[in-house]
Parts: sequence; structure tokens; C-alpha cells
Amino acid sequence: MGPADRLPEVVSGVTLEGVTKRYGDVTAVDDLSLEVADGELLVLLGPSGCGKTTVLRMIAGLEEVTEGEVHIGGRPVNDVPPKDRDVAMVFQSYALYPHMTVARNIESPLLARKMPVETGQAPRRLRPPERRERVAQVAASVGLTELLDRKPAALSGGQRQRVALARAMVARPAAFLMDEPLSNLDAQLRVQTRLELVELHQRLAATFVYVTHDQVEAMTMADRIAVMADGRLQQVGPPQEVYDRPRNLFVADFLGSPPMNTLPGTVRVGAGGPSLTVAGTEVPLPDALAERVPAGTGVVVGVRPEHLTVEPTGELDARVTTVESLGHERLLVCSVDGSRLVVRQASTQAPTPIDTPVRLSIDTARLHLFDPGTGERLA
Amino acid sequence: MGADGRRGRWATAGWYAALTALAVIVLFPAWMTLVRAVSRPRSYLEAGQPPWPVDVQWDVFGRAFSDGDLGRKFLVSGVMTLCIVAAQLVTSVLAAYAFAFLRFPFRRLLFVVFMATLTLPIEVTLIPNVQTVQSLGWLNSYPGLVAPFLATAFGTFLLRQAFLGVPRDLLDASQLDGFGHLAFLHRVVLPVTRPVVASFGVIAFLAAWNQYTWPRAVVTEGDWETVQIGLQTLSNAGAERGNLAYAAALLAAVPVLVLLVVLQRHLVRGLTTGAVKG
Amino acid sequence: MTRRRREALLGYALLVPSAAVFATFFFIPLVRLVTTGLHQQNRTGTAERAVGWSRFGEVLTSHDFLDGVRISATYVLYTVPVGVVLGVLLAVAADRRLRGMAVFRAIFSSTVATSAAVASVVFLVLLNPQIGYFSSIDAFSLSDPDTALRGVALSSVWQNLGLTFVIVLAALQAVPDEVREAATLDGYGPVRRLFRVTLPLISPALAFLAVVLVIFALQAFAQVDILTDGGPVGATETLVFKIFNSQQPIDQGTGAIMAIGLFGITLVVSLVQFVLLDRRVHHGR
Repeated sequence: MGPADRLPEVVSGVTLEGVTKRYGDVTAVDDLSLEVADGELLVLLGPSGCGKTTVLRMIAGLEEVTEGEVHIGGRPVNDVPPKDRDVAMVFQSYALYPHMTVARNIESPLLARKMPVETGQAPRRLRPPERRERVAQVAASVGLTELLDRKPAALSGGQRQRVALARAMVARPAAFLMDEPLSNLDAQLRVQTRLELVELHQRLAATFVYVTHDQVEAMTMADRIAVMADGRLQQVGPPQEVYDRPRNLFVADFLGSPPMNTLPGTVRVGAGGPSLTVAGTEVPLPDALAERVPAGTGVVVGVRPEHLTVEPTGELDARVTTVESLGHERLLVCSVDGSRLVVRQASTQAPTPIDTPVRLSIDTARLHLFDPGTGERLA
Repeated sequence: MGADGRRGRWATAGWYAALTALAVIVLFPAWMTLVRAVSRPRSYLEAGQPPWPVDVQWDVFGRAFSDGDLGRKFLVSGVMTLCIVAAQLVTSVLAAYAFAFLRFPFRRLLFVVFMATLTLPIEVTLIPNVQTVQSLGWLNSYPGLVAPFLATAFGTFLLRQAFLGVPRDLLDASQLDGFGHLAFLHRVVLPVTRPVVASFGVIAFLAAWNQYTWPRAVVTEGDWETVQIGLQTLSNAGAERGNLAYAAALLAAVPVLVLLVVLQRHLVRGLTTGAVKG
Repeated sequence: MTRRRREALLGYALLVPSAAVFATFFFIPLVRLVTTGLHQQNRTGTAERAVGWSRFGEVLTSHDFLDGVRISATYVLYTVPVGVVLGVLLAVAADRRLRGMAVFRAIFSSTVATSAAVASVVFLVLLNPQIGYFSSIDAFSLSDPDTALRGVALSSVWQNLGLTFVIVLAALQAVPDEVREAATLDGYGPVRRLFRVTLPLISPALAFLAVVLVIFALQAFAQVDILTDGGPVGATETLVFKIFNSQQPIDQGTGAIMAIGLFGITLVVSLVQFVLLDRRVHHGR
């Protein structure tokens, strides 16, 4: 990954420059540079163990940075303790104090930290009535007012999550750091809470750095997605961009459900112009792609399930092996020249019986070509 | 359990009989002690030493305090025990916190060294420790009684176990909230691990109250005898005074019994509430 | 100062109170036991001369020391097997759902409240040669050198009942009901179930208990001090008793070496026990 991906009007927010984290011989995060714009919701997406939580913890100050610099709100914070970084964190396990009431849990950050209160005056600790008021305010905004006197053990998962959120909100931090906050919720609650979190982000207009392994969360919530694997940043960009133009095979495969189909292929130049030999067939290659890849190159061809159609005039010979019906659409699992392809089909179309030969048409403008060795995008 | 009518009822009756017999055997020594304590010695002997009280004199307990100076002994034991328990709580909590939450070089080695002290009971190190205490002029004094017991590896071990059960996330959240280690200890760790700390307190109390060998070595004046040592002195004092010793023995067990009964309830409560989730 | 260094300093600082006590009353004394053993003082402790390492060998093979070892070992044999068995007996009896069981359990665990001194006085009532209730029973007579130790041991057995009961009962109650039910379904009668299923399952607790009781027995002092004062004719002088009575300057050298001997014995015995019982616990499924 090259130098930091810059956005035009970055003023503050969170910046990571060449950040590396090593534990002895193990490198958890490798030379990561990233800028999170002020007020942006950036999602750090990646599989377990890719280093995304470590990055979050380094922003929070809970882990020391081995190399590189972290800036929050424009100032370097490498040696600044967590409480002075003006960040708040929502932990995956919520980390609520089990023996304290909801009210005391929410109040906790206000007890030791100094807050800017009056303009022109130095930040100071809040007095009890001020604290109570803020707690009441925040509790009301997430619907916890009736639960203020309960203890965490007496709350449901969703309620505990709201307490964790409220505790983060009450300190009015510059950046919210969220570590897989939805992973402990059941599916239905997750969908609902996702929407609430996005609304919250809009309402607060604060910087959110959000860690998850769930690409649906990333796609639906992020202003930008930063994909990580093996401690390295793979790609940063708005969701649609990362989806439409993945920079390498990893990103291509990670985003999108069902994942992108990949097949080996070769670029050729034939009589009718540039073409792609794939799955035993020759398919015409649009110039836009052909001009980036010399003829004769072996490539990995990527095509998303929604860019394949069952059509009698299609280029590929396929055989449908399984049909998965999702209600609004169908997924046809096909066998093509020994490889497996998944095709998306709207339920409104006529169903295709299993074990019949069909022809698949490829939207060649939406092909992706990757280098078989490095996995990098070629075109 | 037995629902087979007659056979069930016989079995149950049999168990009750067996349990009662066992209970009688277990209680018999203490019962006899009570009998001998409250019976007037001469009348008891003349009656042929029956297993029940003869010529009961309840004032033997009062006399244990007046003639036997039991009040002073209770005071010495009480102060000594409270000092030891307090000191052990403090030293063990601090050490356990360090081992559980802080990182520093040689941590594992130091822990092993601490645990190694468990192999050195006071009975083994008696002679040099008495020398130390003597040279400090601490014979017959509270410092002398208390000094070797101000810290214990057992407490460090037990509390470290408990502290390790506190989720790491809570320390992180606490740090983000702006609290340092001391505040984390007293706001979160201790309240959350209160049952274990209380159990340790009880164990420390028992061990300190029941101490015999060490006080026996550092106390040479009657004024400074603990309750346990006092039992030895009183029992040595001849047949007439004998039953003072028996009364004192019963009285010596009372604080412990009270503590166990009271704390039973508290311990049970402490262990069932406070679900530590999330 | 980096955060890591500050954290390390805090860590060490928190250990200082305990470490200071341990150094002063555990580790330095251990060293001083050796140095004391290497010197011989006069009656009043005003003069001392160095004696060689051979003194160690002499004391540890002396009649006095070996007697102490024999007596302490016998004490262990008298108190530990019986103690464990009785504890199991009481716990098995009390491990059932009957009305009023709480009372029985309270009674069985009551001796937890007794100290060694209290238990000794209680058994003085029973075993005192002149006026003890059972003083006529020859098998435990405190005035006969051959049986006095048994009498003393009896007080320890009684004292330990509460502790063994509590520990074994806890272990029994941790055995899942399903296991016992499965055994019953397999046709095991209650006795066989006890020996083939229950006891093996609680063997870790029993092993732990055995180690604890052995250590208690090796440290026996109060009982001897109160019941027999080491007599008759030194028949009940356990190692700790001998060590305790070597506090006069002239005896300290010998006493220190005996203390080291006791330390060694306790270590070896504990280690052996751990290994043996640990193997039995794992192999004996």
C-alpha cells in the first residue's frame, strides 16, 4: 500500500502515518497509513487476526505504537495517555462495570476527565449536578431513561450495548472508536441497531472509526471502507468504489455476498480484436481492459454473480448443479469447464431446472482482471 | 430418593440413626468439655465422673475472665488478629494487583519466589525469627506477635486468581475513562471480587486467631498471653483450676463459631449476586 | 519516562511490602538457619565458635533427631489415613437430601472452629491420666510411652474432622447427578458406586486433603505441648517440639539443623505426595 490516501479537505479527524505494531517477532500491523476525515464514518474491515482491532487500540492509546505516528485532531498523540486523547471506545464485550448501575456506568468518564465547559476557560472536571444532567441527556437520547437504576446483569444484550454507547457519548469525544459493536446481538437486533448507529453518526457529526469483519455492515454503514489483511491496508475508498473496483483479489473476494467468481484466463489478440480465453471459451474483451494487459498474459478473471445472466445466446456453456432460493432472488450454482460459478437470478425470471445445460452471458464491461501471482488488479 | 414406601422409610430411618450416632460421636468431646467445665470438680469426681453435668456452676465462665484473666487474653488475641488480617489484606491485594494487571520484568520469576515462601512455615524458621524479634526488643509486644504474619503468599495467590477473572476490557475502559490503577483497584476490582476477598479475610482471621507456636515462642509474660497460649497455662495449673481451662477452651471457640455462622450467610449472598457479565 | 517503565516501577512498588516481610521472616531466616547450624554457642549466648559442616551430618543422624522423625512420621500415619477416611465417611453420610440435613452438616463441620489448643484441652478432658473420662482406656493412655502418641493423635483427628468433612462434601456435591444415575442404571449398588465411581471422581480433592493433613501433622506442636509436654519420657516429642525446645543459645545450633531437616522432609514428602497422588488421580480412571 502506498502513501496515505488523502481526501481533499482533511483538517482534523484521525491520522495514522506509517504505523507498525510488533509483538516480539510477530508483526500485527505493518506500515499502515490512513487518514480518517473529521466527521467521517470509516470502517476498518477485515477477517479475524488482520490487525484491525490492534489499529483501533493504538488510536485509543491502549496499545503502544512500535513505529509511526498517530494524530488525533491534528496533534500527535503517541505519548498521550488514553484519557487525554479525546476519544471514547465501545468495546466488543461492552466492558460495563458489573457492580455499578447504568447511571454510574454512563457517568464514569465524567468523573476523572476534564471537559471544556465554558468558552475561554480551561477544561475542568464537571460538578455533580452538571454530570447528572449530561447523563440524563445522553440516556434519553438512546432510550435508557427508565433503566438508569438497573445493573448490567439485569439488562438485555441490546440494552447493554446502548449503555456502552451512552458511556462513549457522554464525554463528547472527538472520535468514537467501535470494536465490532454489533457482533454480540442477534440478527434482527443487529439490522435495527445498524440503522440507529448510522443515524447517531449523522446526528453527532463526529468521527467514527468502526471495526468489523462483517462486510454487510461495512457496505451499509461506511462513508469509506479500509480493508485490511495480515496487518496491511489493502484498499481504502467509498463502499461502491471498493466494491466496483477492488484493488486485489483479497478485496474482490472479501466484499460481496456471494463472493466474486474467479477463473483462470488468458488475454489474446485475435482477428476480431482483443479477447479473453476463459472457461474454454473465447470472449471479446473491451478495449478499456485490453489496453492495460499485454496479449498472452495469464490472468485471474473476476466476475460478480450479478454480472452473469442465463441467456440462450450466452458465451459460456454451463450446467446448473444447485439452486438456492432467497425469496427475492435465486443463486444458481453452475459448473463451467470444471470450475464453479455462482449466478444471481431475479425470482421474476423463469426458474432454471437443475442439471440442465444452460448458456451464460457475461457483462464484459464489468470484468476484473487480476495478476495470478500477486493478486493485484491489472484492469 | 426413596419412594418405595416401607423400604424407603426403613432406609431413611436407618440413615437418621446413623447420622445421629455420628453426630453424637463428633459432639461428644465438646460436650464433655462443657460438662467438666460447669461441674464443680469435687462433686463431679465424687459422682463417679458421669457423662452429664453435676453440681452445675455457670459462674465458671465468669471466673475464667476474673481468675484466668481471660479478658486480657481476648484483647491480646483480638488486637493481634485484627492487625494481622488488615496487614495481610493490604499486602496481598497490592501484590496480587501487580501480578494480575501490571507488566514488569521477572514477573513470573518473582511470583514463583513468592510462592516458595509457602514451603517455609513458622515452625521451621522459628529460631532465627525469635532471635530477630528478641534483638528488636519485641518480645511480649504486639509487633513481636504480628511481624512474621504481615504478608502471606497464600493471600497473594488467592487474590491473584480472583483478579485474573476480571475482564481485561474493564481495565481498558477504566483507563479510557481517565482512571489510574489505584482508582481501578478500588472502584472496580475490589467491589467485583469482594466474595473472594471476604473469604480470604475469614481464612486469615482463623489462621491468626488459632496461632500457637509463634506466640508461645515470643511471649514470656502472662500479661501478653494470647487466648491459645492461655489455654496451655490454665491447663497446667492443677486440678482445682482445671475447669477454668475447660471453660476457657469453650470460650476461645466462640468468636470463631460466631464468625463462621455470620459469614456463612454473607458469603452465600456474596457468591450468588453480582453476575459478572458484560 | 515511558509508560511501560512507569508501569514496571509501580509493579515493583506494590510488591515491596510483601517482599520485605518475606525477606525478613522467610528467606533470611532460612540462610540464618544454616549459619546458626554452623556455630556452637555457650550457655548464655555470649560466645560462639565455628563448627564444621560435619555437624549437619551428626545432628541429622543423631538419635534425638531420628527419634523426632520417627515420632512425627508416626503422627502422620496416625492422623492422616484415619482423618481422610472419617471425613469421607461423614461426607458420604451427609450427602443426601433428608429433612434437617443442614443441622447434621453444621455439626459435622463444627470442629472447623477449633484450634489445636482448644482441641488439646478438649482431649485433656477425655484423656488426662488422672481425671480424664477415658483415662482408663489403655489404648490411648497418655501415661504410657507406647500409647501416648495415639492419644495426642486422637485430638488432631477430631480437630481435623470439620475441615475434611467440608472439603470432601464439597467435592462430592460437585459430582454430577447424571454420573451417579448412570452408574445406578448400569447396575452398580451403592457400595460399588461409592468405590468405583464416586471416590475416583473426588480423588483430586482427597489428594489435596492428604497433602494438607500431612503438613499439619508434621507441624504438630500445640497438642504435644498441652497434652503431654513431650512425655512420657519423650515419647511424644515431635520434631517441632524438639525444635521449640532448642531455643536456648547452647541448643540453637542443633535446633537450627533439625529445622532444616524438618524443612527438607516437608518438601520431599509434599513433592512425593504430589507426584504419587497426581499419577493415581490421572491413571486411575
